[in-house]
Amino acid sequence: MPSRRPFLHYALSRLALLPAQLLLILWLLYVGLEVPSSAHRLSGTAFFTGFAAMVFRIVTGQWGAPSVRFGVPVQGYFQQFLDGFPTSLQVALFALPISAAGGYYLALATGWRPRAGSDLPSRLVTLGTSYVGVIVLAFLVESALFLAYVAIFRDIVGFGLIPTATWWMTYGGGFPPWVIDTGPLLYTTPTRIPIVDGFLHGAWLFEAATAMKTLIQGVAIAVVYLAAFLRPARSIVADESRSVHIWAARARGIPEGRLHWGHAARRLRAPFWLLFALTIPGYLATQFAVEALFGDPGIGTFAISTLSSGVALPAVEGLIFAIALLVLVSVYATDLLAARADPRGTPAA
Amino acid sequence: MSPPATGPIPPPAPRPSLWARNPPPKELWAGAALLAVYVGLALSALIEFGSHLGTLAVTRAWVPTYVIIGPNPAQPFGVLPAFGVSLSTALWQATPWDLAILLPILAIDGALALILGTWAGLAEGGPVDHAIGFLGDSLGAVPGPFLLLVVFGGLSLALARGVGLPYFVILFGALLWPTGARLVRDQARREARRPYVEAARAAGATGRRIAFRHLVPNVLDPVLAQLPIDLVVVYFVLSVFPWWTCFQYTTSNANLYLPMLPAFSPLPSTLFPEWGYLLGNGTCLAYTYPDGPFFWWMAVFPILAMAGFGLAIALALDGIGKWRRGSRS
Repeated sequence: MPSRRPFLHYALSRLALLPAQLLLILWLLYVGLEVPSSAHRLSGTAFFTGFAAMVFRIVTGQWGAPSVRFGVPVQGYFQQFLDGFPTSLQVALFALPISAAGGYYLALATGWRPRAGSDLPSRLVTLGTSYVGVIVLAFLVESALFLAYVAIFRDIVGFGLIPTATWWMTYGGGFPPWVIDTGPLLYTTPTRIPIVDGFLHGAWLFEAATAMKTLIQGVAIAVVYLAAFLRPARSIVADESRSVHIWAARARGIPEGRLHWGHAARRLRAPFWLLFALTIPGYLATQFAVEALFGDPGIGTFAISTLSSGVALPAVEGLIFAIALLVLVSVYATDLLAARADPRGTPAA
Repeated sequence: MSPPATGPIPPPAPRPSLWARNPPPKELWAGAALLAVYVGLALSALIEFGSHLGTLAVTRAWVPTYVIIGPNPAQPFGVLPAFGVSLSTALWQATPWDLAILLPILAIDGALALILGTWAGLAEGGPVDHAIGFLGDSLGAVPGPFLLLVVFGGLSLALARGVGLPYFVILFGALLWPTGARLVRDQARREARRPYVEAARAAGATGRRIAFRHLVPNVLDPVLAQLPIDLVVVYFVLSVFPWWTCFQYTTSNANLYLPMLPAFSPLPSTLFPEWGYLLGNGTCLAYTYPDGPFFWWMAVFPILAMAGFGLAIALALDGIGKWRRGSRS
């Protein structure tokens, strides 16, 4: 008997999958990393109690800590991960909308008539993914933004999202009380999200500088991400442009612009959401790499450094679990948005 | 009225061959030509370097990081300090290794995505479909580079003799399939409802025959589109992690820099020729502090080597897809 609330039924049944998926990831971490790294052989009951201990350790944030340096206790890995969250959030707040809006409109513009002039840049981007098109485009856009930042703010790019000490000396006579300098990194109070804290303290020049720094990273992420997204997105648009309902509407004399940006654009929201869900892990990997490249004290830098050093296995396990949780929840949300946009392709129908 | 002409019936005009009716598109020619250049370089490197193919030849005078030698007639791509090697020689030496790493990874990835995606699409709604979907979605929850490092790291710890490139290639290929399989599944389930599949089923074809004889050739497009994207994931692992290790080292003491590998690296030694490893180190040696000079050649030439190969793969696969669509129309 069909459900009276198909969307709710779909949302709940899809939600029920999440714990099983997380369990599979945990099991993979245990069998793939924890068991091989154990000094003693885990067998029988110890095998299962070891799994329970690992899960408890991960979910309670006991990810270990770097060794004590110069007699000073060092912050634990879980705390480092949490501290990186606000920075990564600010980058995502810029990069995600640029990626999403760019992907949606660029795919619609370039896939509609595959041989039109607007298709050339897209082919340059999509053909190469990280290759020629992206490198050239990223280089040009990033160079322009870099130069603009240096010219306007008399500061250097990199070292996170907060302007450097030199900038503060030039414009503010030093750090204000709400910017904390810990030596290796700067952070803002009370939220640790620079753009929010600057707003709360009414530091408008700082707002412009941190926004520009984040924009540079957001564009870098979006260009790389778009290359991966546009390739399948363009073919979805091209398929849609050849569909029967578009032909029928065209035969009825509906203007081409309305067909394109009205009929097709609305119908393509659902497949685009699904495509976005598929590419979330790729987006995250890109953001992490860009954060590390620009020296942000965010989750990306933490992830790349932890995985590169490989010394703290509990931190690696915790990090992978946290990323999987983030991706699975994001995919769940986008699946629901896709089902809401077009219920026909899902069991919510 | 004259009688009709008698005699032998003239033979019909020869039908143009399939090749003439549907010539390969320009993309395919361009991609194949570019790939042929890479294969030629790889073969010549095998002959030139012989048993020393796996170790970069160091020139001690070029090792200090303050020795900066840019592109010149003798060293057209300049010199990579710390390694003490000519970049053109190093990239040439790395070509056979990179082809041996990248091509099998793409082959395994594509084959798994095609087989599992087709199987799931054909068995839509059944336990096989659910199992493949669940496994793919769960594995796909962790970005490919990170998942690979975890599994490869575990394997490195488990095997006393250590693991090397062959394991890395097989593992990477085996972990990249979820995205491609999901796209193939979607196409396969649509194809499975079409009349030609119904006809094959009515004629008594088995599920395996329907899958391999009828569906697989018709669901190739998503895999052809996905493989160049998956190549980026491989490049990510091979270049980003070595860059970070090098970056950490050079920011602490650039003058004493010695090449080092990141944790769980598949490369057998610190002087192993590989494009991503050269790019990672080249990028950090080229640009170690923000307001310093940028030794562009250390990063640009490794990027071009990788970009050229990626372009060759993308062009060739695009061309194959276009050619196939042309032959069906």
